Amino acid sequence: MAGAAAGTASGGRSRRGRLDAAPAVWLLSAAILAVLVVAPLAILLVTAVRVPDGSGFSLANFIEAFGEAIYQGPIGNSLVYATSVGILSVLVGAPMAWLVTRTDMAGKGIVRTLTIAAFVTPSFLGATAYVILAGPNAGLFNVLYRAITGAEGALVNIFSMSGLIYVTSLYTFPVVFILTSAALTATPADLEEAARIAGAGRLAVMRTITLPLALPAIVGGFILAFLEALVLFGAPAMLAIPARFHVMTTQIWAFFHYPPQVEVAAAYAMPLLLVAVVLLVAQRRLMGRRGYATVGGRATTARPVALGPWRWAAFAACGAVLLLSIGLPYFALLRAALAKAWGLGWSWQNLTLRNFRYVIFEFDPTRSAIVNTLELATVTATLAALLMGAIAYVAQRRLITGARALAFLAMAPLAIPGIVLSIGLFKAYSRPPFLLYGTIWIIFVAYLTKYLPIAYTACHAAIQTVHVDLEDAARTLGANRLVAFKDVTVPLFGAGLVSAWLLVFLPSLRELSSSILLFTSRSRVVSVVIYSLYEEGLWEAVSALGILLLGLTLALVAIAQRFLGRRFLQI
Amino acid sequence: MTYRMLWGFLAGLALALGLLARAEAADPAVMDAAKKEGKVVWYSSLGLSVAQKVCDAFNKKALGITCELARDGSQRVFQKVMQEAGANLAIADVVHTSDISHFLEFQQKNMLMRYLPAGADKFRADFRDKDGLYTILRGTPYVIGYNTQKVSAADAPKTWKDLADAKWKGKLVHAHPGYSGVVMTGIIGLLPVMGGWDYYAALAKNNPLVVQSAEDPPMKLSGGEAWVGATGEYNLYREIKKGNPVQIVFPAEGAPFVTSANAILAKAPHPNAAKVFTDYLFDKDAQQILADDGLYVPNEAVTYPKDKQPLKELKLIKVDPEEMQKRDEEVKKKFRELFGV
Repeated sequence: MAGAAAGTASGGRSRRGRLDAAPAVWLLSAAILAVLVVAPLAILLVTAVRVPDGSGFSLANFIEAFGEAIYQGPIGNSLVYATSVGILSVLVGAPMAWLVTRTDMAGKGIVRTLTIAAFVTPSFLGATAYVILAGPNAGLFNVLYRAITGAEGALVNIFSMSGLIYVTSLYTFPVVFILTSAALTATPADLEEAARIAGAGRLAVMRTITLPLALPAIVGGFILAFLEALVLFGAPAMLAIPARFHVMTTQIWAFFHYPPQVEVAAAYAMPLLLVAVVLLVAQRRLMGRRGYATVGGRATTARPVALGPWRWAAFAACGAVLLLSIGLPYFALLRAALAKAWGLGWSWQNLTLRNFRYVIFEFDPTRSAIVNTLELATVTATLAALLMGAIAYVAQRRLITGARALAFLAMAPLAIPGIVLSIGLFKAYSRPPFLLYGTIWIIFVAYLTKYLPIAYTACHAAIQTVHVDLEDAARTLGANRLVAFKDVTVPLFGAGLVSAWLLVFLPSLRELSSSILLFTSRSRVVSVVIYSLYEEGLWEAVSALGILLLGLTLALVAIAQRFLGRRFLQI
Repeated sequence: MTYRMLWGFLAGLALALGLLARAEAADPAVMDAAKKEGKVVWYSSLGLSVAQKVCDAFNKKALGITCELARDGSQRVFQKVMQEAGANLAIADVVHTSDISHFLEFQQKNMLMRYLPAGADKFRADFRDKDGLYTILRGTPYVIGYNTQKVSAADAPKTWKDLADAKWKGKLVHAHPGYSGVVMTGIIGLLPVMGGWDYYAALAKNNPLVVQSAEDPPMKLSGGEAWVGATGEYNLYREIKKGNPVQIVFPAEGAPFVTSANAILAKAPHPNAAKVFTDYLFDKDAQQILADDGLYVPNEAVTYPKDKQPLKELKLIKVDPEEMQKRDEEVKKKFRELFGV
């Protein structure tokens, strides 16, 4: 290992004098990244301190954004919401990760698979499903509760802060699960076994060894779950607004309503940006080089902790979580997607495939949104994978100075919340000379920027598995760098690129928080149409579209896991 | 087939086509230009299912012009039109919302094309703009609805005041004036009658489920998620026709009459198609689709469903367009204060 690293470094140095494509790649990449990442951020910052009529600069936008009582409420709401989601995700995700990686719990494979399904399920579909399941008056849970107990009131009310926290956590706990199980898998269980042999009890081992080992990952997972909730738009818009409160993201969206206050929105977005930057720096420090779950090898698996009779109890507990997160919501969506009219209830006569025909073939906006979404996801994923593949390659092989700067730029959007990025993009591209607003290309720019970090991380992880000696061998045999790259690296690197492509394609299919500020009637995407249909109360159509989206997503994940195996979403 | 027969056939065909063309539009030059434009983009706040029906019926005429529907809430339609105008984008041709103040705003910004649909001189007088810049496409009273399985006719609210009764706490649904023009008009119509914002403060105390579209309360009522609520009459009427357990109440204080205007934008990218489409929207066929859906329309050639009461038998509250424009911002602000969103 050490030899390989030294080889990379010296190899890089000895090659530096030669002319080849690398500097051109660097320049081009730097220019693209500057346009994608630096420009919208700069414009956002300028917008925040600008007087709306363009006559000068002032702090008026900040005073308006943070001075008014009605805009202060959402800040408190967002803090409560995100913190609670972070804590709940840890309480669920971390123990599940331990059970799956360190014990002989029954049904570990099922738990892992369904957790991935929860990971790729957009929370706005979870929210829709839970309106059906846990609406205070007509939700299935409450109807059953009243039928069984004879009570008048409601057992649960999804239109509330606690309802919102609950639904969001069901789809953010997998983040903690993935990071924690990666950390636990990557660290050998030898220490735990040694402690056991030395006579420590199970709890003592947990407290003194396992927990400290996993702690950075758990805290890192908390931060990511916290941030995800903080910048989420869909679930809060669907559950908080009917419950008569705003969070920061829905407030930013409301600033765009007529008469739009884009400048105030930009000022209002600053805390989101700041918090995201600070927390992600903290998270990086904490997790050190381990970073994302895609990185990191599999250590020798030690003998798992025997749970005895608790094997099945533990499985039942995990199963209950996944029933709430996957089983019941998917059932509710499928039921609504197959309903003739929602008001007709749960009877067998109330079944039809009409809603699918309607959203795929008959209803213009959904049909064009499906086409737009597939086009956007494909183009974004392809460009992100190619661009980040190139940058990860030059950065890892240290072909040129300044490659690390490119890597930094590529990772920077991680700290730019989607809805915040969109404010900058809207300002930058909604008037000539750069008029992208009104086309799907402004949404493309948003997606590409937003998913650069995912693509870079995946490509970076993949390139590290391609040994530089192989390339050197090809060069020794007379191939120039491009040929060596093409004939040696690309085939080996290919699986990594495909993995990066999928990791961008999947979230692009469901992106809502950037798209919601950038779409027009001729540039709608599936998530936006789902949200619009929800606003009109058309649950049947929402559910049919949702089922299509989930079906495509799960099919792609299954195919990827079958063919890419451990290289894709490794947990 | 002899030449003579062929010529005879062709002459007959030409005659038939000529007659057809005359039936389609008064001005063949407009129709020709419209066909070249090929489509018309309609930004509309008309309920999705009926708006789609109107568009589909237009497309079925096979005029060589496609109706492209962009349905959204009135305020969103307005927001998009203004946002696109600000970016110098001409996407929408014909605009239709239920907040009449939007059309005053368009007018003051010179954003409308002067166009009256064919036959407009015969429309109900109260459905026309005196300057001929927009025409009311449809009207509906803003009323109360309730779920008949949860609430008996005796218990159902009879007045707007009843709706604010504490017994509806947690059972009430209300749509958003920042989305729906029907609701915006309803609130502005009710404020003077109900003695100002105190009425809405009382309503807010019932913890209503705040949805967005005026289309949504009827669905919340029919599914039993809410028991009582306020919305447009036509939105409720449609749910009743579907066999859902919903009933309409015309409150004793009166029902604000919501009029929804339609106009062509001055910068319409398909101006001729827009004219053809506007003529169509107001012709008997399209107006009949609206009337069947429970709406009141300007074209008096339609026949209303038997269970619809004639407008003149209803106690309506007239809402002044200038009053709408004056109070739009205030309503959004006060609603936010009282209802939290």
